[in-house]
Amino acid sequence: MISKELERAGIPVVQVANMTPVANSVGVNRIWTSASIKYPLGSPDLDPEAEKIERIRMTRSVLEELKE
Amino acid sequence: MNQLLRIVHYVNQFYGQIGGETAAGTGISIREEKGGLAEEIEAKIDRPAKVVATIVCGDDYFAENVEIALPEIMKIIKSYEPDVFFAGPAYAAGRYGMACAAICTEVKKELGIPAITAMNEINPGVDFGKKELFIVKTGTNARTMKTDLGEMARFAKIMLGGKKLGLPDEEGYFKRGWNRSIRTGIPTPDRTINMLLAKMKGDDFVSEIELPENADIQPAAAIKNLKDATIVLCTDGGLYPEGNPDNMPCSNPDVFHPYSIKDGPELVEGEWTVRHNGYDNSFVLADPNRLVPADAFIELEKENYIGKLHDKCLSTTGLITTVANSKKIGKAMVDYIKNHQIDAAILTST
Repeated sequence: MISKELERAGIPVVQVANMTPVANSVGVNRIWTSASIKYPLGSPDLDPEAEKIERIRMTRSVLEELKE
Repeated sequence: MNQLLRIVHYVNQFYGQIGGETAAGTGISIREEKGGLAEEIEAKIDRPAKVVATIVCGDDYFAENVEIALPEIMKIIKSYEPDVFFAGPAYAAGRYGMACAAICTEVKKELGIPAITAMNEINPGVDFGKKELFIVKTGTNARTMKTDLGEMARFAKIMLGGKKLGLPDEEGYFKRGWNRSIRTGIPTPDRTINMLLAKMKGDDFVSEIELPENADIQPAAAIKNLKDATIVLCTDGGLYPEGNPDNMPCSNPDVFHPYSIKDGPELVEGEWTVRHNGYDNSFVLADPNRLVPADAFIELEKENYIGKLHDKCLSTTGLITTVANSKKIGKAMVDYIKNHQIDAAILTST
């Protein structure tokens, strides 16, 4: 619902969410499916340095959604 | 019980046989003589009844002069001391539907008598009135007029008898947004498993929770050049500075707060807390970047992959948050974003 208000106002927003059916059903336009409900942009199995590199990779992918 | 039931009926210029669109500007008039629809209503109500007045008003006239037309129509309705009020059916006619819904809502509020209208789901009058009213579902044209008037009469009889209407799908009215407790005789886990099995088999089943309709909102324009864009991180995962300085609740807030993520406390364990009872918070508490990826954004800003990361994160808690509160938070975020020269947002949810 928050995303919808932003988009309605002309502000592009990417919603990073795991429960994409919910986001879809309320009509969110840009959705990026997160790694987990518990850690949307995390990879707790990796060591902290590798996790950060992986997060930067994920973040780039999230940002790409803004270009479409 | 045998007392004559007094009915007032509202119709537009078309059903009042004044004319079509060209007559839509016609003002309010009253008919006491019996017309076709009045006869039909009296027949359907199935007890001594009389349509004491038919109020006719042009759709454009009502829409463009609501402040005058609505009180005027209310005055007329009251003067006839009705037991029941009918408006429409309005089918797919938008202005007519809005008028029917507006007048019925007012009649219900001021007179406390059954006020019943009917229309098709595409009519904007449905959204306007469905919460207050029982609106009979119809098709999109008047071919079904007799049946629809019959349904309106049936609703009136139930309400006049002091009884409750059944569920929307059984009775044929639009869902009003209320929950009603009912006994099914089947425990919740069994119903859930049955639905799951039906879904897996590809059989029909009806979910007990209706997801909101997919409302059509035009996507905001894309950001062609990320290198020039200022981006703000938002989350509804409930991340707040340790100590929760703004006393954010664990569910259903109606505000968000901006917190510094560039020059404030680092996003490390111990500096932040999570107020959200809807997920296991331990992974985010151990590294808040997993929810609000400030570390990655700061790197991407350094290498000029994006123009700028806004220095604050907009935080709220998205749990059992009502649609009304979500909208309120969303609107407040819009104001914040517009006041801070921000081009786009990333909203992370758990």
